[in-house]
Amino acid sequence: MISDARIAELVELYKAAREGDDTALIPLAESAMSQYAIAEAALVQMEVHSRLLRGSMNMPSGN
Amino acid sequence: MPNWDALRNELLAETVQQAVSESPLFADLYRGLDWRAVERVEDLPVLPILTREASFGGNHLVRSLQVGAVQFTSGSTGQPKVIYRSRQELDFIARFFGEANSPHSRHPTPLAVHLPPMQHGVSTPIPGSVLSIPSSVASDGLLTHTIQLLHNTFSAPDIAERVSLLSGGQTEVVTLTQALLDLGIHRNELAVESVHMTGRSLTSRLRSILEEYWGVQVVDRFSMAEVFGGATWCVLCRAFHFDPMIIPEIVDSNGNPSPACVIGRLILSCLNPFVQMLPLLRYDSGDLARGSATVCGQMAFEHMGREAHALVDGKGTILLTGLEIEDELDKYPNVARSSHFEELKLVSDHTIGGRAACRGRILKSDGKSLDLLLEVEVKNSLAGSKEALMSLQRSLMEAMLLKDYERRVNLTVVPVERGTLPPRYKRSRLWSWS
Repeated sequence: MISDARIAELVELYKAAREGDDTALIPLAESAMSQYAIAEAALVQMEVHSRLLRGSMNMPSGN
Repeated sequence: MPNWDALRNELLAETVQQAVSESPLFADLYRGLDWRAVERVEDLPVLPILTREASFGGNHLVRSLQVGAVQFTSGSTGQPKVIYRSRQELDFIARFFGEANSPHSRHPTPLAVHLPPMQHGVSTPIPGSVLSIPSSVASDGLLTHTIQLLHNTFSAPDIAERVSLLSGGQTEVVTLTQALLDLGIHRNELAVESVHMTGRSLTSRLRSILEEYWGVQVVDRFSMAEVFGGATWCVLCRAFHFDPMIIPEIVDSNGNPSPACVIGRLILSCLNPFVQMLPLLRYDSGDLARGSATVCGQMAFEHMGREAHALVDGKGTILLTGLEIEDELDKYPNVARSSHFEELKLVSDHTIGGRAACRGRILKSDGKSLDLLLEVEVKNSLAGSKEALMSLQRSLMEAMLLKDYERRVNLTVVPVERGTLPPRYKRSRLWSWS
């Protein structure tokens, strides 16, 4: 059993990685079958798309 | 720019340690290796590649855990592989994403209709801020129900009135789209703002059919039943980004890291505790990919189709990828394709999302030249197909010329009558020697 403290630590790493991601392109966890996460990922993409259309997203420099 | 490597590095050493101590398969595979030296993502290449053939047997399973879900690979060439998820990993996934995804953060809660490919077994539930309604297109009755859901107005507190998200398997979403076209239902009657699907790579034809109908950019998702997580197609990079609990690598035919932008085999490692019961480290996905230029700062991958569908010469040089072949074949309406949901009366074309019926043969290969034959099944007259197939032949030849191959390549594309060729499956080889 993984402790709550360890989960909180991993969630922090996950959230820290998401911070500063101006594109909000968050690769969300999902299995091939997960109905919830597929929908969640779709929602993120929808937001990105609408922000792009509004021109409100700062494009980061590529590499 | 997200830095997934911090999370990946945090979990990698523990993942290797758990695999070796709990799974007899990894204990055998890594015997004599200094696996303890693997602490960071860049250390992974010291470990051998795990083949699909060696995986999922009785010696792979971590037996100290209890089974919580049974899932299946697609089994397109025979018996599906059984994938076990433990109660412990399902519990972890629920707790982790319950905290990370803030399930109640969006008001009103958006509604999604999800069309899962049913053959994959029990879903892994992951908390998210979306209310997802499972449905199906497997019969006319279920398809009608799905369309009703898209039309429906909901009136409960704190949930959206209309369904704004459509997700599911590629075949299912494409079939639904064909039905809506056939029924003359315009997208303005619906409220869908995002379409998201899993399955094989979308061809240009399918992407344009879907995007034209729905009026949104379609988001593709790379995933495999045996791997928890996957990669999401990025609207900015027009390539895939992998989830943080997976470490992707692209390697050449000898298992060495491929240089950037060079096509290689896609190798995946799944991190514990997201995957516990069937550990996968340096697992050969059976797919080809190449690193791609990225706009948004994360590593980006172009999926190039199944390795089994690629044309590879005797030295391991990839001349044509499965995606290049599929994409070209898909441009010609007269090419016969496999069909899905044939019993549906509401759908006029059951082959809209099907795989092109074809067979490749390597007729001759020596130091100077390579002679190839591609047989393609056509729906209508063979005589009328020749011009289109000449054009196909030219396109494929051009794709091979771009690879800067040192040998002379001769490709002949010939039309054959429908039903002449053996059925083509996801894992069956497209090219054979004759």
